[in-house]
Amino acid sequence: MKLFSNKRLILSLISLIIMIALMGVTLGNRGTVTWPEKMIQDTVAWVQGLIYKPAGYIAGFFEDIGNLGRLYEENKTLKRTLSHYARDTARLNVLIAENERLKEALRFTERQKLSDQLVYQIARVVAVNQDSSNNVFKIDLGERDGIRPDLPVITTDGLIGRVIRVSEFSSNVLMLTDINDQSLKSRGISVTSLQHPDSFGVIESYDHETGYLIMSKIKQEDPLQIGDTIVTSGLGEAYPAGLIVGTVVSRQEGSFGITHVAEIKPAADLSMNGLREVFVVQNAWDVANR
Amino acid sequence: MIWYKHLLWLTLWVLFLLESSLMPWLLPGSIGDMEMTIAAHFAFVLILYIGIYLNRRLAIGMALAFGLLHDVLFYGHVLGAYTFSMCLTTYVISMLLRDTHVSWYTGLGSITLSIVAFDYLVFGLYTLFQITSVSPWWYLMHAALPTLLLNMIFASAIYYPVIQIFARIEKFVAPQEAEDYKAESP
Repeated sequence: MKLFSNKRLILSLISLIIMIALMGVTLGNRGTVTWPEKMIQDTVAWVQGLIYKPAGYIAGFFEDIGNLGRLYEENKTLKRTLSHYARDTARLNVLIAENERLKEALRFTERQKLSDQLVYQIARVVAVNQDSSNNVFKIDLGERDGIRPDLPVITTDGLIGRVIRVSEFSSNVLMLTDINDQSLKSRGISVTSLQHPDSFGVIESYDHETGYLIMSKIKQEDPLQIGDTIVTSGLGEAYPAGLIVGTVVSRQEGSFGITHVAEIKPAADLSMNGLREVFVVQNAWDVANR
Repeated sequence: MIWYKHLLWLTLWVLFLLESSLMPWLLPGSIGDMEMTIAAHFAFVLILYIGIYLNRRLAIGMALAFGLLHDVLFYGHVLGAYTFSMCLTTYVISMLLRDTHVSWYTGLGSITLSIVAFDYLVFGLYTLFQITSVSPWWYLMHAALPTLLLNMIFASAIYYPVIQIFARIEKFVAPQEAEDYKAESP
């Protein structure tokens, strides 16, 4: 039995070349999004949202029934945290007022003041791609709502990814799990520790086997300790400062013995299951000058 | 008279939508404490059925269309991985099984093979372009096998209805189509 005749062989070879060329050209960020792509993205995202959201409500209803038993305990804990919260707020207000006054005294420009403030835009998830190497989900905010590529996306627990592709009314978000130091197009996130603000490191990859993020380029004399909360440092300019990433679970020497490497347990659930609402984070200056 | 083709396209479209919007709510993200990715390839399974039992060319066209749609919609790293893998798998499996009477075990067996081949083609392309660096063994345990299990359950569930509908199409519609074709071409 002949699988390929001569004409077919040539035809399939040509299509093979075209496909590989297409993949090579579109690898990584391709710049502008063409209008047919935008049209398909938006139309299908709308239809997907029609199914995803109601299915989420139904799933949420069953989840709530399952959670009923735990409500009493949760309520007690929440009341305790609330009292802490009230105390912290009073202190925070004093600090904010002082910060404002000092910024005024030091003649901070309007841009500098606004770029320290963050704006959280809530977005609803409309579809999730189930593919372990291409963890992408779609949200219902797009260019019209001021979304740009590379904006960080968080849940209430912490950082989960960044916007990768934007069309008029919807955008694609790439999960943090796809960060990979072997890939040419992947980008690291510069982070620091909340307890030791002098600390510096870069999150460059994700270990699929352990489920931990890998923070590298830590100096040997760095004050970072196990148990520290890791937040973005804002030094890379792409991510604003202060977004929670996770907690340190281990720290050891890197493969060359020059710098240290730490494993970070992500604060947010990175499995993409049960994603409903996420927040897109921008600084206030960008929003004001949209 | 090609109404059945429209119907097939519509069914595929609905299955394609369910893959990414309904299935994430029904599938677990981990079993025990083992993280795993279960991907529903329902539209692809139906395309394979069409390729094996009904119409090879139509199936390849559908693989091209839905592969490209998936690539464009979930563009994260690269365009064309799904298009390429779906087309190649559909083509090879339907060419291997053409002109043969396909029994149920050959049919389901070849669909099993196709799903594994498809998964590993996509994974291979991602590895080739250095998008992912997980080991093939890890991929097998955490993604390929669970995915295969889900899709084989789906494929077995739709086996009987699909075979019967296709038999009806071949009996009533295809002869008429062949006549139309003869009448058109000199």
